[in-house]
Amino acid sequence: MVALTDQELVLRSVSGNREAYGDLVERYQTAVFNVCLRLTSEKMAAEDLAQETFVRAFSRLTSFDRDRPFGPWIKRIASNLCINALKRLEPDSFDLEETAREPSPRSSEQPEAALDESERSRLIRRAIAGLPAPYRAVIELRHFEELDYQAMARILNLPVNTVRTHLSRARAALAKALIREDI
Amino acid sequence: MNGPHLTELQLNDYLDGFLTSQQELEFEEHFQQCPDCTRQLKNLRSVFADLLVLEELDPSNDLSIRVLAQLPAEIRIPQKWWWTFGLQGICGVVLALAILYNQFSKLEPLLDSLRPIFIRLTSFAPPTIPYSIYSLLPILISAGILWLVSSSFILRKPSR
Repeated sequence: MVALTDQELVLRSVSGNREAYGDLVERYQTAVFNVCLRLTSEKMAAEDLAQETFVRAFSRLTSFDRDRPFGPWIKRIASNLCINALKRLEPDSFDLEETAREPSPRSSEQPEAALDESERSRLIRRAIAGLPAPYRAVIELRHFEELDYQAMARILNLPVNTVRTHLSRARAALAKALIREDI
Repeated sequence: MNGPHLTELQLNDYLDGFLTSQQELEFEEHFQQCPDCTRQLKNLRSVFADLLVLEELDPSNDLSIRVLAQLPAEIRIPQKWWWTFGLQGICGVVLALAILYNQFSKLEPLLDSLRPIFIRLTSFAPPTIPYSIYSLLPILISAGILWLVSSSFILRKPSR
């Protein structure tokens, strides 16, 4: 049986077919969960936020442009939701110029000579988790959602130059952490 | 370029492709002569590469069950208020114009002068209402309110 396209599933969901929406959730839950995980660094919080993303997206399905891909749309909802949650938790951190913080020190374990893919990913994820929330946000928006500075500035409600600075510092901090992890 | 080395921001702009082709050429010339900037560039490039290969994790449970349990009974299609009220407003204006037109029938001298043009209009002139516009106003307002209330009931989507 040929799998339905995202657009067909959206159309069926809008006309009240909940099973179709369930299929969409199954299809995108990993992507959405990973957006939330990269932004919050906590699995439980990421699952809750991913769930909330899909519930909110359902109410907004009528505004989804079916000529565009569903993945970036749902991921944008997820990142907005997480960024707002982070802002509620740390209201001042996004406005500060000096949010630079050393990434969390790694444990005393020694790096393996050759890291397998999942171990490598675990260390990268840990390096991201060690970044301050605004830095995680710019890394997510630029590297995973491929937005330009202007779009990032709109989402984060920050001046473009602040976004540019955050991104530059986030990458520098990440580079430092990854060198320390010997990746 | 500021000073002997490129700044972090300049390196980022280079990697993000936000430079002019002229600037890009200048930067590339600089990289050929500056091992410090080249090393920094290499470090940043490795960040890009690492983020690109980051594996995704699966959530601990299938979220679809939890999501479906939380969905509202139906998708509420946002009402376009300007459409609903705009349409009713237009109908109201048309009605008001009809009443005013009725009042125009009192302007017979004017109509007489325009008779050659509006011959058809005057021959089929609508009957005059034997009430003043002011006495009709409360009735019209009441009818309008009744219309709004009843249409909101009629157009309401039945809940499941």
